[in-house]
Amino acid sequence: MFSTTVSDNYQLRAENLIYEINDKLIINGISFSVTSGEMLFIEGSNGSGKTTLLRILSGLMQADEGKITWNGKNIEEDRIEFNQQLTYLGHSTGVKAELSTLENINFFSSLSGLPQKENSQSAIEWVGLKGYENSPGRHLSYGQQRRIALTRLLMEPSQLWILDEPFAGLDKKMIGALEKRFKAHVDNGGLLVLTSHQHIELDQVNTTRLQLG
Amino acid sequence: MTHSNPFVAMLFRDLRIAFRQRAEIMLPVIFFVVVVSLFPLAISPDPTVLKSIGPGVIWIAALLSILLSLQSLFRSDFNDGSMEQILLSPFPGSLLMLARIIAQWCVTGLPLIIISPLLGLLLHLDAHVIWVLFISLLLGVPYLNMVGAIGVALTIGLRQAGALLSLLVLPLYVPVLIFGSNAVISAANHLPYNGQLLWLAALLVIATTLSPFVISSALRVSCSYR
Amino acid sequence: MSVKDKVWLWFHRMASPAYFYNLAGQLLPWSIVATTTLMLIGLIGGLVFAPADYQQGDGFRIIYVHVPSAWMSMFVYMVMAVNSAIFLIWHIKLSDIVARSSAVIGASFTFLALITGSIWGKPMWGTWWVWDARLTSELLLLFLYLGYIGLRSAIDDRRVAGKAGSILALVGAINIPIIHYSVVWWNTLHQSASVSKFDNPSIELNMLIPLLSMALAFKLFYLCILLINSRSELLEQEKRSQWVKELVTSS
Repeated sequence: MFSTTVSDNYQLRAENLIYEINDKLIINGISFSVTSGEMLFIEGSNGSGKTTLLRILSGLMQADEGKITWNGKNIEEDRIEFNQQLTYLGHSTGVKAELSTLENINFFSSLSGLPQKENSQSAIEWVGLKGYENSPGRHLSYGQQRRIALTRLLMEPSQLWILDEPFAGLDKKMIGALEKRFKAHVDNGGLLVLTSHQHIELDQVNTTRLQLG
Repeated sequence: MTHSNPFVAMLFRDLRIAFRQRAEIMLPVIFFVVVVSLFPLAISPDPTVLKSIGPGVIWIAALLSILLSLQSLFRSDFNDGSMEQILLSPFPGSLLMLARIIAQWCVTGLPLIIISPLLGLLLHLDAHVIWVLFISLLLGVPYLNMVGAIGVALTIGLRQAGALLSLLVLPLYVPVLIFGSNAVISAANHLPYNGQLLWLAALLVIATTLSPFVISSALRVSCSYR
Repeated sequence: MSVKDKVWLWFHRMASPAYFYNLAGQLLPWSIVATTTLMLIGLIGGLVFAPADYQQGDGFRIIYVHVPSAWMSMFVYMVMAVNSAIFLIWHIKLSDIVARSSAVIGASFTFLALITGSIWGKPMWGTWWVWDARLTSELLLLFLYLGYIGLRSAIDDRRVAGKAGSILALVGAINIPIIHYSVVWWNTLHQSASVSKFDNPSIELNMLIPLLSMALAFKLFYLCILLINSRSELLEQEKRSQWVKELVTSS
């Protein structure tokens, strides 16, 4: 089901990132690199800049100083190539209240213009939303909306996952399924960057821990 | 396997969302009609007076009603996080923005243009004048949508975005207001009006080529801070 | 070293905050002296030595303030737009500072041009305001300036404010010629009431000299304000850098 060929070796590298908010250095000269088959786990208390760092890594924000490279190329230089390889999940789910589960998922998958790995039906089954295909987003709970966003992990053919609190609002069963999915992604040569309040340990996965704040 | 064109997907998503909030998309048109019908009450029901102020009144009402409808453009996407996904799409952001403007024009600009002949009748405009009014709005209103969207992209997420939006956008609407209402006045006075319409067309071409890029880079800037 | 390299070197040195800070500090006294001198020449020349207008009498003398302010209002917007483009393309912070300080100065000059134009209109047209092309364009330009200032002050984050402001300034710069043209065109349709300001095409030398020296004085005044603003903004922005620390500890 989750088969991708490990043909390339990818690398995300951050050098000396600095970012300040209201004269306060939130990110103070951070450097690291993640390569294919590795996980970067970013820890820190609330307000320590985890979300800011993820947004900078995904290219939504620009650091005051320092640079981020993807396979040696500055991500600002080739946004299209970088975005093709990126799946970013933030705090907000991006689920539209007026659209049904299926319509939301189909929109996400068409937005990239790339062929998807799975069809929306099996993605819906994976996140356990079978029976909710036609429910509008406004009738779904926060947890269900998060599940809709998570289908992107199954469908998008990306190598780099940047996930902000992926377990928020999920039950134990879904968390288990998600951890399995993470493991499969990394084993297939994917890169995983995430923040979580929850402790997470993936078996035999090369994990870097980064403490913020 | 879902694999369709992002431009089409964006366009249909926006249209679908708009048609599911029917009350909201009717509001700008109702506003347009109400504002125009206030003028005879405030000034005079005399047909000669209405004939002379009519073109300007309809144009200003159209402009304000577009401005009103712009307030909600991008807002829900900004709040629910879809904007981040749109900005991170590998598909060119300017094309996605063009799709959104077309959708926005279909649900706000087009109804307003369609109903404008009726308002022309209310203000006692002659048939050939109403025709010119219709054409001038057809050429000018998309410009209002596009330039307005630049203002929305710059002010999204700000406190008092609405008031600021009017200040940013209204001066930029002046050329279209001048050429648009003047084309109609010229038609009413049996003067040539082709020049004005050509100007509107030229402005529309400029706005169509430039504004999608500006909107997409402005959104990128606005969304880079929370 | 080729000319192109020299130009680049100069460009980079100018863009280096420490170099610019010192250069601005050295230039400032000279510009203040020059501004004051030229303004005195202009005012005395315009108010005392220049002849009164044969139609409008002494009321005409307001042009020594009105015309230079009107020139400045456009000039400053141009400077603002060019610096905005530089900031967006090359991310040179100094350009953002120049654009930002220009907005307030430009808006003030535009306001001054409107007020003096209106005062001048009273004896000339018998009314405080006439919708002539020049005044209407100035009014719209004032709105553009106010929009820029409003947008920048509504955004808390300085970096975002800089970029958003730059985009707006460029959009404004593209629109200004269109707005101006449309207003002039609109005005020619309704012009029957107004009278052109310069009826006599030849301007005497003893009117031209004060006018030009006032214009130059206004430009230098703008330069002084830019230098002062840039210096304080640079210190604020570069507060963590070595040269600012050295500057603070040495004084």
